[in-house]
Amino acid sequence: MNYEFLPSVAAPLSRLIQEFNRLPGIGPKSAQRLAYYLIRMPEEEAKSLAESILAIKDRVIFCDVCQNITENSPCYLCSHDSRDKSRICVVEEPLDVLSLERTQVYKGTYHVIHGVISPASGIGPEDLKIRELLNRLKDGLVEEIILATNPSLEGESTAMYIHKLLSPIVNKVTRLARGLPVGGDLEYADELTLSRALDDRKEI
Amino acid sequence: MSNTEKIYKTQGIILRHYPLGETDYILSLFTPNRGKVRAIVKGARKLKSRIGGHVEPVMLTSFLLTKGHNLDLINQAECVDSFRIIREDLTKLSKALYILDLVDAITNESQSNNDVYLLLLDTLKNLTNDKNDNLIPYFQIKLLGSSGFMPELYQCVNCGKEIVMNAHRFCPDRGGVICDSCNPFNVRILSLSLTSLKVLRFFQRSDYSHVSILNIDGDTNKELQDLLYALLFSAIGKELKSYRFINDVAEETVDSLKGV
Ligand SMILES: [Zn+2]
Ligand SMILES: [Zn+2]
Repeated sequence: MNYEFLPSVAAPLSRLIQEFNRLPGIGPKSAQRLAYYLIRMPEEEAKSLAESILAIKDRVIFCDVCQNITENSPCYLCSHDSRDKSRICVVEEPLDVLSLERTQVYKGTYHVIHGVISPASGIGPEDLKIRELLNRLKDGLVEEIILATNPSLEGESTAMYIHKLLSPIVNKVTRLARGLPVGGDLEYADELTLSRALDDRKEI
Repeated sequence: MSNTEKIYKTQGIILRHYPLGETDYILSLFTPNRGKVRAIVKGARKLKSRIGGHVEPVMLTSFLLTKGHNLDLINQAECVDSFRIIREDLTKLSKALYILDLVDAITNESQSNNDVYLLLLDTLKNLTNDKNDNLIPYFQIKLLGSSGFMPELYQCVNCGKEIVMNAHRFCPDRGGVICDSCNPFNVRILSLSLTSLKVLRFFQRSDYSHVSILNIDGDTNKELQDLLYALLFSAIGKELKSYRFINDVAEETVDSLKGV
């Protein structure tokens, strides 16, 4: 939607609405709502918001090793001695690293590929940070790659692609077990999830 | 079932999904009686979603929908066939995604086309078999035929004369064969060998059970691939990005990277 020619909307406001409209998941209506909310926001808060946006552009970079977003490269996780450098867990997005770190179970390192293969949208392997992952394997010190992409069709395709690429180079390529969610009900589970949960079953 | 009912039931093959907001998807489905339908499915992207595992692309699913203004709304969905063999084999999957993308691109919304539906369902079933040679070219030519772009393979698309042996070329923009005497201005003309012409005619009139046992040499295969791609491009009017992925996952491509 173009607000530029609406005389009732002040120019700076229409610009802000358009900027919001470009963000993922924000439609024209939400963009308007956000913009009008900001008009009523105290000046201090608005300044702090604007500065924090600039700060991420200024100070946030990609880690040379794992491609996660960081202030320093190599990042905290890549440079810490306690992390097991022989394991790399491959995830789609930086937020997935946070989720996995919250479990406090995993002690290896990560690799963020920044997206998934999505043929219909024209996103192929070369658009992701997969080459950077290959580079990390050159010294032969990596023992295990854990594929932790989402259990969606795109996540699965990406995992299969990386598996095909890495299985001749790395000893062990594993995939996060895909199964029933906690609190899920067998009765409502789909056939695909159930059959995979059966495949990935283990002794107790 | 009348199309004016507000709530309706249908099976459908999920062609693709687009994320909407934080947790929803817009699905593009292909159904037997309503053709291509676009519908919203709420909450499907939540990890704990009950519906998420039933609404992935490359699934045949049974739906209960409410007719909407612009998009319909999915109330219930139950997967009938997940085509697991396809989704767990990268080569098969790349072909399936291209097939679905083609159907999505060449069909219009709410135009019922049962032929396309049956062709799509059969093709996915055939893709689950180990041997699926010729499936993609066969599907392409049949899809063109069932969606109103049947290629002309017997008469010159310019002068209308019967094509004679070894005096033929191909004109994708006019949708068929062209004789050696015609040279219309400003259209692209591709070469067409006698073998390729025979194969195209055979594909057009045969069932896949007969097509699948045919052995086609590499050169003919390449020529067919180029012809059909050009034909589809002129029917659809745009490049299909999913085509590239078939090559991305082809053994040779992956092998060349393995040399690290
Ligand atoms: Zn790092
Ligand atoms: Zn002619």
